[in-house]
Amino acid sequence: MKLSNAFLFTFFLSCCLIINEVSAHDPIFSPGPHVLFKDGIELHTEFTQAAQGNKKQKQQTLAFKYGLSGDWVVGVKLPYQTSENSVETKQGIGDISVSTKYRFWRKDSLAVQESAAVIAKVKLNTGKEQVSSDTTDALLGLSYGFESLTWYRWASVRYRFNQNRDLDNQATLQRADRLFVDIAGGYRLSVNDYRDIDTVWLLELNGEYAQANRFNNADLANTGGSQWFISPGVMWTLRNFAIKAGVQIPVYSNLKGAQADSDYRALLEFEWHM
Amino acid sequence: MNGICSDNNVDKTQLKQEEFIVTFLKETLRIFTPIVLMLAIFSVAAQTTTQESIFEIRADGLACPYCAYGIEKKLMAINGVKHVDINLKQGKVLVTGDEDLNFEEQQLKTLFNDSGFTYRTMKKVLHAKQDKK
Repeated sequence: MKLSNAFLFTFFLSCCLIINEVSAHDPIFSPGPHVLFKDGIELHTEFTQAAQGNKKQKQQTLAFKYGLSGDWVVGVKLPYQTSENSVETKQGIGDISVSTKYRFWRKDSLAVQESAAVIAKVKLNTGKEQVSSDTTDALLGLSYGFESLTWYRWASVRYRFNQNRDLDNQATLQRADRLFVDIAGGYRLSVNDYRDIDTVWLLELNGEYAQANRFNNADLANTGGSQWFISPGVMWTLRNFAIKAGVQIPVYSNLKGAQADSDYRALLEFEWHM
Repeated sequence: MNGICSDNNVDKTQLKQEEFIVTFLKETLRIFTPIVLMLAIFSVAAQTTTQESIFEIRADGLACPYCAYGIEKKLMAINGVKHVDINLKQGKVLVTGDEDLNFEEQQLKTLFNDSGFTYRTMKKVLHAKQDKK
């Protein structure tokens, strides 16, 4: 049985796009240790777009988060996806994901906060068939962050356990797990008053690695490999409202087989804390 | 003779006019003076000196305004708190509220911890303020 390119592409981009654990004053394409205040509510909507060869995927996401304590947040995300290539366009509500982040360590000093958090996320198998991976995948991660009034630095590592997918002919596609490694820095040009607009410039290095998927005990061609992105971005905030924007530009790609290299991935996010 | 009569008539008319003006002014003063005085008294009475309290709270971890919003929200939910401002560089949260507003140390420790920061110290400063009710 041959798996269609569109199917693999949907897998690939779903993997790429549904990885954001972004919250509050965190990097744009990778998770930081930030959480919400207790009983705080975060509403955010984000728009992502990715291009790879002649294929494009757009995604609009609505997300809701709730602060269980000053160090623990839970959230749910609902994406709407559109995938298109030269042959067809698929769109619909994607897989809902639920996530949690617990900040297990925090060191505060004057105008500086250093902290670390664990992240867990489950992508449920709820989406429309065309845009869903048709699996339930789990992700575990660890993130560290140092924040001061001028400089920021973050690091994170995440591992996603991809569930195998049962195909129509009772065969099973063994989807390879995926590893994400990120480092990021931020710089604030000027410290404004609390009620003024705050701007932080960001630069991230995002790495992704996956082995090839397997089918009938053999590696599938054109799956797996590694990619590294350099990702400039900016974050504007005004008290409890934030806008984040960034683009991932591939700087190294070692994808197996005849996979097209990623061209870019862009993200625009509006976030509101209540 | 006619000239003298004419002058007398002019004088009488002028006198009548002057009398009218004086009478008018007197009446005006009689009517309006109490009103003006009453307004002045009410105005002074309405100006009462009230005091509002200002708290200067030192906290650590305040590295970005967006993250500090939780502090503002939680403090504003307390009865008597009127305004919250945050000085990130100095790590200070300034709370303005009613004269009888008070915080307890444990209350602030919990509040700041729930907001994701570390409470250090608190100083209360009473601030006199002239208020027109």
